[in-house]
Amino acid sequence: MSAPATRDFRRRSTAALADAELHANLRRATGQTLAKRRALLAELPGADADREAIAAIRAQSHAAREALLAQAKVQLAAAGFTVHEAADAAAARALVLALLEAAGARRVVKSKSMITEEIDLNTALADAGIEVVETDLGEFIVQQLGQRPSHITAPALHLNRRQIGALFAERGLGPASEDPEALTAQARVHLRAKFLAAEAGITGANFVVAETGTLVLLENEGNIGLSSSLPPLHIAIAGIEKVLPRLADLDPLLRLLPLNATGQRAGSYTSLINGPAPAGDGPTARHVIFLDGGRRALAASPEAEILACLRCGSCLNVCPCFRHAGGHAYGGVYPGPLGILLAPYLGGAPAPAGGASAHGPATSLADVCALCDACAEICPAEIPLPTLIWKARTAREAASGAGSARPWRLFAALTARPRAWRFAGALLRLALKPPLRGLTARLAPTWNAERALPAAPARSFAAELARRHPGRLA
Amino acid sequence: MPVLLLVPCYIEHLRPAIGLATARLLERLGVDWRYPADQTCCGQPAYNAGHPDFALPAARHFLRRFGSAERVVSPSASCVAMLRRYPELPGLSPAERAEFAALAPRCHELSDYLVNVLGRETVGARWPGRVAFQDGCHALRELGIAEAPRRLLAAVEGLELVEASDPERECCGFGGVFAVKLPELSAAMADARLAALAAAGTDTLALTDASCLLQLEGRARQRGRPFRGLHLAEILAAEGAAQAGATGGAAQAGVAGDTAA
Repeated sequence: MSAPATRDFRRRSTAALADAELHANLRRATGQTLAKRRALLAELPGADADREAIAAIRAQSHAAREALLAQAKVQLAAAGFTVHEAADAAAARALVLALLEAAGARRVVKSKSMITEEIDLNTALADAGIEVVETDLGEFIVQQLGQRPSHITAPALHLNRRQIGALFAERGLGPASEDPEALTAQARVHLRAKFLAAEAGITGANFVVAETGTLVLLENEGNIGLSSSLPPLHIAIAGIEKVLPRLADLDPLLRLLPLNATGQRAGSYTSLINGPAPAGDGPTARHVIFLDGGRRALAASPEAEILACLRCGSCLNVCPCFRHAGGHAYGGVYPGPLGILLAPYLGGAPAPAGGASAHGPATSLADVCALCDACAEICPAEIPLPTLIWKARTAREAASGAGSARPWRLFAALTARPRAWRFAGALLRLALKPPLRGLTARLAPTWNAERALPAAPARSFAAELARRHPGRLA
Repeated sequence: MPVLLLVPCYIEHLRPAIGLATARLLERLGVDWRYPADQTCCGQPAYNAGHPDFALPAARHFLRRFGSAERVVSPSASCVAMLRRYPELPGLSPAERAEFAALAPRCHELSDYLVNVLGRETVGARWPGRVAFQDGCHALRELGIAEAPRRLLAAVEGLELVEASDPERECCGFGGVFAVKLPELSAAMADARLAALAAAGTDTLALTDASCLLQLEGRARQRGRPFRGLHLAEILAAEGAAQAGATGGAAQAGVAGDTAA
């Protein structure tokens, strides 16, 4: 019946639902961000125009991706960056390791970036004997736990302050506390030493501006600024879809990205990096690695529009599946509606080129969606996420053979034959009445385990209407 | 030209009281209406499951029976959302596509029809009690229906309208095949809606879709929660006596609605 990925999701989400503390953490954290966003939205009358502008910029970036990428490479090199391109995760990891080795760097600070999760960089660095420290507070917390982020912009959103305090005390970071400021101070003391000792800093990139060869990084904690300016070597990893045509394109993006990600008017820090420092003030070497990693295959698929995603995470906050099950239930790097679409292409085994063929039953989470449309409503890039998930579901069904089509073939035949349809309805009513009702409940366990079967009326609506308003039948 | 009434299959076979309430309401408002008795299903289950090709026979059957209508009215926002999607179905001839596209804007969910076509907000209904309203996802986000049902409910004599939708207006967890493929998650989503209802200080919920209603009612009954789910049409058709017998749980509400209709 269900794809293996859906079965795994069902198992993990059911476990998450049974964890009352986790469930409460998810509901509270996502609800607070949505409330802040909503309150701020009332003060931003231009948000709709910004969404349209962003959708247009992203469509343009998509249409001209290869040309913009080429332009970005030229401009970045002119600014003094060393530019690389990696075809897949293995190539990206090898590039990072080679750069660190050439610089003799053994201690690395890293800022939160989903693309480094995608290529599982921390494992590769640790295997090479390199110390890598996550410097975003949420990411630092999940690293201490050996977990993946459960949310793309709020990695530790599944935990509350009591759990984080207990973790910090256990790791010897300071006295037990549940005060967020005290906990942040504990992490800061620990991280300050790591920043000062680091020989390299690794970041992602929110955007790369082709026109000027500029890296753009948004954050709230200052750790990206430190990771990219304190160590002598800076390596930034960017997806090839992150290139924007012009610096002016940042205008609507810098408003809606913080609004949707965290419910803030602006990010606390926005770094625009234009190359290495000329005279020893900051890194003397800066590298940009552009990663394909399945993106060109995704660009050729029916779900290509997801490449416009800004990774703000607002579709996660508003998705009822995510809000109940949490990010870890999705089992991959990217959770939520955007994760369903990215998972078959990014962060896993290389997807075969050519779009729909990439959807194997093993990688499709397309059933983890009630098609409620809340994510489409909130998306700052106007991506029709539920439509794309439905397309992925349709492609998955088409690929999974005649078996999955059988019940729908019968359904289709009945909908075109009114008398057969009425007869099927009469059978349904019969099945819901004693003596068959108990048997029906046993035959419909996936409905009946969680919900009582509906009661059966004596007659159908059409039959009642024939008794009461016969003149209205046509 | 009479309005043609589209009644979804789950109302036809599981909650005919909603269809009868719709009929009674249209009668009272003096609307000239007809019910094509050989209608079937809008095809949405197959479409949502990822089999749009198997929604095609339903769409073509709908076109045969309803194609000439000046207006199609339905007590189901979800079905109307499906009718509006017909022009995008794969496998249509250009002529069919044009016919579907021309018909789509003439298809209306009941509250949308009453408020935006008939211009009626007061329909002569009386319903004493505290009632919350749940937005259906298809009504709210695909059809943009949020105001019309609330205005109609606010105009019902004796009715106190309260909001039970949380600010995120979350899904009830039905979602067609979703409810069957991920039953535990679907039930958790229903529980969140039932908790919001309790927090609003009532056990009576008005909805524009019987699918959401059946999901919430089934879950409430399973958990022994007090719940009375009423389709908007059942409240708008009431004249003060219909609800008198139904004071208890969901099962009684369904039976009482049926006998009183």
